[in-house]
Amino acid sequence: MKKLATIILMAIAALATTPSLADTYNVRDFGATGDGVHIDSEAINKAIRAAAGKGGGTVYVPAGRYACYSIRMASHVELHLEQGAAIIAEFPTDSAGYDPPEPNPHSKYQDFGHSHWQNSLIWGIGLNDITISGPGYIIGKGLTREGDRRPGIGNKAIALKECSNVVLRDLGMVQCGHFALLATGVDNLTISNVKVDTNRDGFDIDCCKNVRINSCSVNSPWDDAIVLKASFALGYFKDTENVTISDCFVSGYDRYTMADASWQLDEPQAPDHGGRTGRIKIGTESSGGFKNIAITNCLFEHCRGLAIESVDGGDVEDVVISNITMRDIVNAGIFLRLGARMRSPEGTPVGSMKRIHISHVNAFGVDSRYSSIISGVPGHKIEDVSLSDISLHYKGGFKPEDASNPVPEQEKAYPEPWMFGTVPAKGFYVRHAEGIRFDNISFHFEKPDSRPLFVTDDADGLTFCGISEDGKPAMAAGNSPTAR
Amino acid sequence: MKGMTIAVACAALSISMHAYGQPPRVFAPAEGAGGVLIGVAGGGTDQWVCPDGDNAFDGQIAVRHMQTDDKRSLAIEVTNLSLPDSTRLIWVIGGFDAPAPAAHIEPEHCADNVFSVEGNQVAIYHGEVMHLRFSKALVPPGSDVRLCDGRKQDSPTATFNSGKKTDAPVLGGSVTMERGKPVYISIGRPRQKESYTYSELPRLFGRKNNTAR
Repeated sequence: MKKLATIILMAIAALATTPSLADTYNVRDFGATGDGVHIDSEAINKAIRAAAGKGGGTVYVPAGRYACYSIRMASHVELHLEQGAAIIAEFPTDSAGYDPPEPNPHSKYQDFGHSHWQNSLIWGIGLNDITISGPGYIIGKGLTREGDRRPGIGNKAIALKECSNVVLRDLGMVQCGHFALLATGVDNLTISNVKVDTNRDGFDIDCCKNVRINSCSVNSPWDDAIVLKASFALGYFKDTENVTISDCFVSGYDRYTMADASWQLDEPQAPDHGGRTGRIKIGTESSGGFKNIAITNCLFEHCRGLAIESVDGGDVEDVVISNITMRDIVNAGIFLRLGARMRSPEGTPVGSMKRIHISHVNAFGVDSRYSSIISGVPGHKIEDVSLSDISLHYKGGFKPEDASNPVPEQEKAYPEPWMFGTVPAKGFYVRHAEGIRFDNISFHFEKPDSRPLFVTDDADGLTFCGISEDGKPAMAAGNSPTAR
Repeated sequence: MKGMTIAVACAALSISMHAYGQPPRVFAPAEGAGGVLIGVAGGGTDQWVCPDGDNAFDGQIAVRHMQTDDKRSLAIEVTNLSLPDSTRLIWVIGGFDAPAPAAHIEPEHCADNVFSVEGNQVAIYHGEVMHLRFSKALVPPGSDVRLCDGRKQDSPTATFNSGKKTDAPVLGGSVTMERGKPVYISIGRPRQKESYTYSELPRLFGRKNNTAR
């Protein structure tokens, strides 16, 4: 009897010292099957509501395959996908599907995908303190990357609007439709150690403030990998600002072959016919501006080059990009574009681009047709840009006559290097710009290229120091680039 | 499907296999883009079938095809009448950069065709940068779908198993043909208001709706 009492006391003591599991909500307890056949989203939503009803907690998704339509996040809830767990976006049927897209009177300023959030696999609007965590997977096989607007169609894996204090970490995400993540108007956002292999955009960070993206891998051959935007989807102007992107890998391998580590390269073309995409970009949606952005220690492979674009009136200011290495780049190595597409409310003035500093960049196997481009539009110059300690290895192969190609202004065009055709410079084409400093730039060409190294047009205050071509000094002191 | 009328209904209860050594002939919309190859494999058969011609399958399958009234889209119905249930329908779509409707899928018209497959819906991006064109296809649900080599068209299984390492990508699929149960394929460049779903295709041929979306 005494022995039994001792055991009971020990058991009570053990229970007293075990962390409480009362704030963990296992989706199986709410009816989820994880069999990959039955639709489990309602059970998961029940668990989320139960957690939220108690002031918050962790919604635990154990190993299994959970076929789902829309999962509605709630404040103070972590959705945790255990190792071996996968939330799978199911195809809609005539009688079941994703939540309908909510009305948005401002949808004409950006495309359908950017303008709605509810038509997603996982969504939240007006929430705070939420986490979605792995190591499990989100597989969006039933999401569309196309523009299908029929009821029941879902097009984003995770969509968040006007939320704060959001963490995404340790997840795997595959085949995620239009966006793996659309975060619009989200403040205090951290994305860490997330691996994405998708069929359109990876992370779209739109009108967000204070964002940390680190240690992520994003393979997105059919659209941009990590992209900062500032659309008018919220119905008001909001900058994307105070953002760091660090220690990330972006690429354009064949879809889903990063996730399975087979690294295939048999599909060179993207739907827009501009070659593999998969890059880090600022823009295109740019009604608002981009301020105080740092991108560092990142790798690009088999994709397009670094792009900074403002075409809808946004101001791009105080951007530092450093320690970037890129291989096998299918278009311009570096592309800075201030344009005037003006997909913003009427009366919005053309934006600006200034105080952009790019250093310690290595780019190998860069397609030479568009070399690298810095271009504003007439009356609106890109200002105060420094490029230093940069090594660009171009494929070369262009002829003297290519140096005389006319370069259309294309002020209102969608910004991609191809809008200029073959540019007349083999190193940098600089137009409508001032205060551009080139310091310690080495150019290398796989094949001879007869175009001038630099061609400028309506460009003032350019400085060149330490320019070399295939290991030899390329611009003696006092020499000027080819001006048009 | 509302507002869509059928201008041509070409019914063939049996159709011919293509002449050996010749590239197989496609089913193609008169004013759309691209084309569809239809093949039958299994049970000792591995043959392409022609859009028109003589009885080569001895009435064992039925293929009907019809153009939409604007001739921008084509729908095909294939029914296994008496072949074993294990028989597979192999379909191939491609050749979307042909300047005019073509009799064959020519590899040079496939180079930059991009196929986005979502379930049994396929979006095809073709044309060239800044002058992009867009087509759509609906294919039988449950198909094993993969990119294939448009240069290898000797037989349906040769194409289907050819792999995606090619400069002439086409999209291939393989699906079992349950006896008496029609399967459908459509291809074309429908205007938005004329876009339709797989479940609506049977009605084109006077049948009740299919439940698949």
